Amino acid sequence: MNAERFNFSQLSSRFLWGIVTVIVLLLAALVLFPFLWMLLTSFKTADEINLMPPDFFPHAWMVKNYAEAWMKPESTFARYFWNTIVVAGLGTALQLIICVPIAYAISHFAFKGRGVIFMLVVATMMIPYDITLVPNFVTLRHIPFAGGNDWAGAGGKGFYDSYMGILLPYLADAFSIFLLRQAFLSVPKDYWEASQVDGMSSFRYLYSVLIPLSASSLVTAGLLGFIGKWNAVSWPLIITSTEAIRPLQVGLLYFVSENGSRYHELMAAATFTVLPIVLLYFAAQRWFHSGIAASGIKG
Amino acid sequence: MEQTKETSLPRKPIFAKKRASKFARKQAWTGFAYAAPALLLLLVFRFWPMAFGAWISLWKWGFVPDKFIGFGNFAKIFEEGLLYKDALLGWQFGPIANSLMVTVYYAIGTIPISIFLSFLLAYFLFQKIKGKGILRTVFFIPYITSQVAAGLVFKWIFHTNVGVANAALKSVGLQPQDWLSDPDPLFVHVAAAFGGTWPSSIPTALAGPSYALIVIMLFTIWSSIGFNIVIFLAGMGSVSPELYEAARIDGAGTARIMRHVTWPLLSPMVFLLSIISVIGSFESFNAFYIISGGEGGPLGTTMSLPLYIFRTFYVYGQVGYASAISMFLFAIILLLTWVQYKYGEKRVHYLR
Repeated sequence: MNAERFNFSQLSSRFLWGIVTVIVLLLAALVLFPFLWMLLTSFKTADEINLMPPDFFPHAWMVKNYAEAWMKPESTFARYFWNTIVVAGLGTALQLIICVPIAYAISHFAFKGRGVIFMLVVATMMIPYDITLVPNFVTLRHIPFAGGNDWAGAGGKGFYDSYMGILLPYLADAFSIFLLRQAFLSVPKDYWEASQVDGMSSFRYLYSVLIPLSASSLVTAGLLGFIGKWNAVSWPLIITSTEAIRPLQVGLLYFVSENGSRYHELMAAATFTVLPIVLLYFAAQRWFHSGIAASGIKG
Repeated sequence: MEQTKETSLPRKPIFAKKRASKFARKQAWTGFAYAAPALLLLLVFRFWPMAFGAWISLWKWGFVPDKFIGFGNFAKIFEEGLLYKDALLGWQFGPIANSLMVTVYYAIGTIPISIFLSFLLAYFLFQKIKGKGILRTVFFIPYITSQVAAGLVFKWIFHTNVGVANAALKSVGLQPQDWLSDPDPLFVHVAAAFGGTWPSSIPTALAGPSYALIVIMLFTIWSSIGFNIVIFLAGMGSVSPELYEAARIDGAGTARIMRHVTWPLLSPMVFLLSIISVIGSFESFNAFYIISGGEGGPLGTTMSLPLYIFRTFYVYGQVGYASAISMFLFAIILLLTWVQYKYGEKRVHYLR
């Protein structure tokens, strides 16, 4: 009797687990569907995308949609890609160069105001993005000696409409600093003390001990920074006016205002915008997940 | 003699202390030097904007400062932005009240679903199953995908005439919808489906989200669950397995373990995610901008407050007024975060 009931409940829980698995797989398929539809549409002809109901697969795979989408905007996607690579690549490098030292400072050095500095860093996570847009725009226009400005920041356009303007406000990133601080704190304190006794310089300790030991967190911070910069749209749109220095996402906006029905080209453009980031994620995935876990997010 | 003096006076500690303080001074300066560049950038591009934005909001300011008007912009928010009196129609919702309603619907429609769904998915992905690495990647990819590209794909899927969503509806015998251009809110549709009409005395801004806003909500849930799952998985990894074993031995089933063990232990994550998500909802811009084509349409039903601020600044060039509205938005976000801390923190179980 008892054994029978046990068996029954095991059977039903197996059955339930099966149903749950099917639901999860369906959800996964649903999550992937937009990507699949983007890819399929990107290879269709103009006639095919106007079919109702649509055919699932393209009849002939129109690879030339990609070439046409690439050439479509005035300054072509080659230019947008280049701008994004500069902004995201240089931006991420600079972001790490700026965030690693402050994380080092607040995790390893005792000085007055260290607690206050850490509080300030964390507090910036609460400041709304929107509130910073207008003042940062004004500040960047009036950086002294930049873009034809005089010492008082007047006369020229400052960092408006430049790579620097796109980059500068987002180099110091609170989340990266936090992540790196957690990683640096998890390196045994004995190493630090030993290096002090041996008279190792603090900079040497940073690059020969701390950085190699926190590689996964560095990759995580770098990857999140790169993705954020690659995908950023509203700030680059505001701070630039020349198409020739605008990044990829702003280039893609070209298709937003256009009310035509050239969705096949649009989907081709969307595909080549998304692809590099997805590939990068696959390449760095291993470090990435351990990096997030190592940050010890505990609420 | 010398010897006794030496022992009676604690010279060594004094010497050590002196050295330590010199050493400490050097340490302090080095530490501060390491912190300085980032600190400077944060002060200039995060904290200064708060002060400067408050200052700008007191001015009539186009692209250049015009004149100081004190709280004029804030008065305008309350006189025209929130509620205004129309000669024919009586009291009406202003654009800011309308945007607030849009954001409120959006927050209610996305946050609970996104958090709860990702909790369930994370629980599933935490078990020992084949291919969980692949599944985790699948759910995470939307989070790293450009919102511009993905938003355009959603627009295409929900296209009125040739979109695949309408094709699916037709194939199962349902009525296709004008997803992105039908301005009628949800409850107006519901009322019509039951043969009634929405009472004209109640503003339609209160009649729920439009279909376009629902598409934006779907988009947000789609793109946010990956991040939430990662946070939940990190949390589940730090719960000791003995707790589950103990619950199993006490005869608790999966559902009860989820409800009474995992969920309470993950409440710090739920708390963190809900605070992040509420702030995120009130700052959300990209999805609204892309899916509505930058106009907040149809009829302002997808005009989130950040989009309205952006348009006030970028399209209409009213820098002072835009700053005042963003201060107003900041006050709302602070209030909501404070309320969540005050009432949410008590429900969080910290296991320490």
